[in-house]
Amino acid sequence: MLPWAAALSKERTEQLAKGHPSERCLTHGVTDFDTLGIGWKIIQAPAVIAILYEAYNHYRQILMDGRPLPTPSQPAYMGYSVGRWEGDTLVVDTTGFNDQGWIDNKGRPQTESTHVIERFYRRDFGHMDLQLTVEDPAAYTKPWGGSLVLNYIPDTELIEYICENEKDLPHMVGK
Amino acid sequence: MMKWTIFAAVVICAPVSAQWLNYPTPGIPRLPNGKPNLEAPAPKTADGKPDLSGLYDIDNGRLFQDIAADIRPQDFPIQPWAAALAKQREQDMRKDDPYSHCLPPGVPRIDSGNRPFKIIQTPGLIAILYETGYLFRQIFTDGRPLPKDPEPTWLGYSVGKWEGDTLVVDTIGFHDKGWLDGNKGHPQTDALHVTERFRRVNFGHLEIQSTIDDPKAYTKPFTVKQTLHLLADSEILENICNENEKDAPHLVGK
Repeated sequence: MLPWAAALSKERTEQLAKGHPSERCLTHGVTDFDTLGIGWKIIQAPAVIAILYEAYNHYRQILMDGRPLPTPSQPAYMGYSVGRWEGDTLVVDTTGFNDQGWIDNKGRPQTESTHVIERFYRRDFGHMDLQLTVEDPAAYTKPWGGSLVLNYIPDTELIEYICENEKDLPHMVGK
Repeated sequence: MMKWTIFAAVVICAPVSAQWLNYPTPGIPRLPNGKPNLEAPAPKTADGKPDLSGLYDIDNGRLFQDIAADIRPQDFPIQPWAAALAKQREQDMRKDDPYSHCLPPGVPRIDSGNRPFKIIQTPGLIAILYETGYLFRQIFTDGRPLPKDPEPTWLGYSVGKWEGDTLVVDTIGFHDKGWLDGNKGHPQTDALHVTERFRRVNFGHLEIQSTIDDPKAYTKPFTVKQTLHLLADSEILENICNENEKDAPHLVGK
């Protein structure tokens, strides 16, 4: 991380994630959602892949119609995603982030120049390998990331999860 | 002496193709002038059912603020307690409208929002992605029954089946915190059962007829209709309420 990013991440971690957008019922960023550990559902249609997140009942669209990434006038928490196939791997590029979202719970920052690459590979019916890469020369000296395995959950369903009755906020006092 | 300064207008054009609010939707029928042909026949899926997939925008969102907008007051079957509550809410100028506090509009209110929604139809499941509230709904078309005694929610639990060209969607499992509309504050209870009938009239036009059946608040079911048009060459934008939310302290009512 560049020094400013490392300092910000350190402070956010020490403050026990006080200030994370989700405490005010705002949304999570892309990598944050991917690694959250709350169920999500992928719906694959010809021109779009939609991801339905149980967390906050939000969703994300990965546009598959060959359009280029936009140069948006409205940066977003989840950015703007396009996808393409490389063999059996879905490669998703996301840009157009705002600088309010957090990359993860350790408060690593995202900026308007963040570029996230996700590689989804369904290894077998019940297992999906997901490789995440974060590139952002404004915050990180080089690309970094990790991989995780997602498990298919059969015979159940997402339940509604609306951020309401928010009582945690006054307790987010940090250190 | 006045000096005339001529400004050269520098027009900075971002390539249109890079802006999703203007990006042409691939694969839709078009007229010779390039505009979408909204009157083309409605598409079908591989199994012969109508395909409702598409991005739609409401023609007239009056039902969002008043679900009874098209019903004569003397014909509106509201029970006295519910009418009294609605009157009080109207006088309070929506200060307690859940939608004013970034909570979800319910069903069918969310269909009348003035922001577009996208229907994605797949075998067994139809998902609706709403820009209003930035929420999704799932309509299960895999034959499962409605749940028995479900946890009450804002958006309910929906199953759908085809009757000819019409998708009939039944939704139950609501709690009573939602409002059927905004300005009028018409209440709902946990007995609410909504039936939405989606019909794609042609390529560019969708009709939704909704029957609201809530015997704890209304003396009999009533039906409302809204129409939408296909919003081609555009896209949903992220819409996170609560961000920079500054209106709440000003919602003081009368």
